[in-house]
Amino acid sequence: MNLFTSLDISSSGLTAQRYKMNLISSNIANATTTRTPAGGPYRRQDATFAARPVQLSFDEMLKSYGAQPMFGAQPVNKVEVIGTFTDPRQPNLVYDPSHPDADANGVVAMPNISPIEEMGNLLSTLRAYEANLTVVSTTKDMIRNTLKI
Amino acid sequence: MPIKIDAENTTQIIQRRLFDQPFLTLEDRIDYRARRQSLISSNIANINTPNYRAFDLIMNEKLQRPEFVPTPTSVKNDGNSVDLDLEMSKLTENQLMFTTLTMSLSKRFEQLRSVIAEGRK
Repeated sequence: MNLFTSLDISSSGLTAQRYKMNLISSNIANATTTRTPAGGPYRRQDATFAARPVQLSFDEMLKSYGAQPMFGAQPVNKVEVIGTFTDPRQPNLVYDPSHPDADANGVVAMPNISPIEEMGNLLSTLRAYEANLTVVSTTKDMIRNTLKI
Repeated sequence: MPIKIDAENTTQIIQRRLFDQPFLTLEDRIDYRARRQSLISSNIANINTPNYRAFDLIMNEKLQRPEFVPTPTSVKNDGNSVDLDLEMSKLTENQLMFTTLTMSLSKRFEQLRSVIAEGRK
């Protein structure tokens, strides 16, 4: 566990947040898409994250023996995108008889996307990305300081 | 009774006092700060990870070694306990302390260099 581990961890955070950002832009872009390859309207996509413990060297394991928390969880983790999931919420039904995808009653199934929700997610993802970026630049400064010793 | 000076022993004492002790302490502290930095970056990277618990590395003064302690923050609905503001302030503090330590280490080297250089004159 050294300063380069810290850079690794922050870059995994950057990757994860960027992935989520891509999904959000896809959601906003497809807010009114009624046709998809799978059929039906576009469904909202979101990412699931999971913590993945950083591999410790043998020396570190030996040194930290007894200093680890009682319940065995390794406290230093990278973040990993496990995959995307489709939002289970039902499509929004909008009455628009002139729409080519309207059914016999004139109702169109629109994507289950709320632009306000997406903007909120966009901002929180942006902030998380910036936080990781700050850690990267701080760690970089620290590594530079060790070179000045 | 005159004090007998054992040359061998004196060299050893000088070596220990001048070279080993201050450096070992500083090295230890710098290592602690580097490990804490990894932990803080882990907490910030996992800000959106469900069921992730944030930890801190705190120096146990009695045992003279750092220990992992869960941060005393509230757990959100998704089981995540990362507090971004707390982590960012810890990050800044850690960076400042790290800079302080690396600077004092380089000052130690400077002192030694001046002792060596001035001693010859």
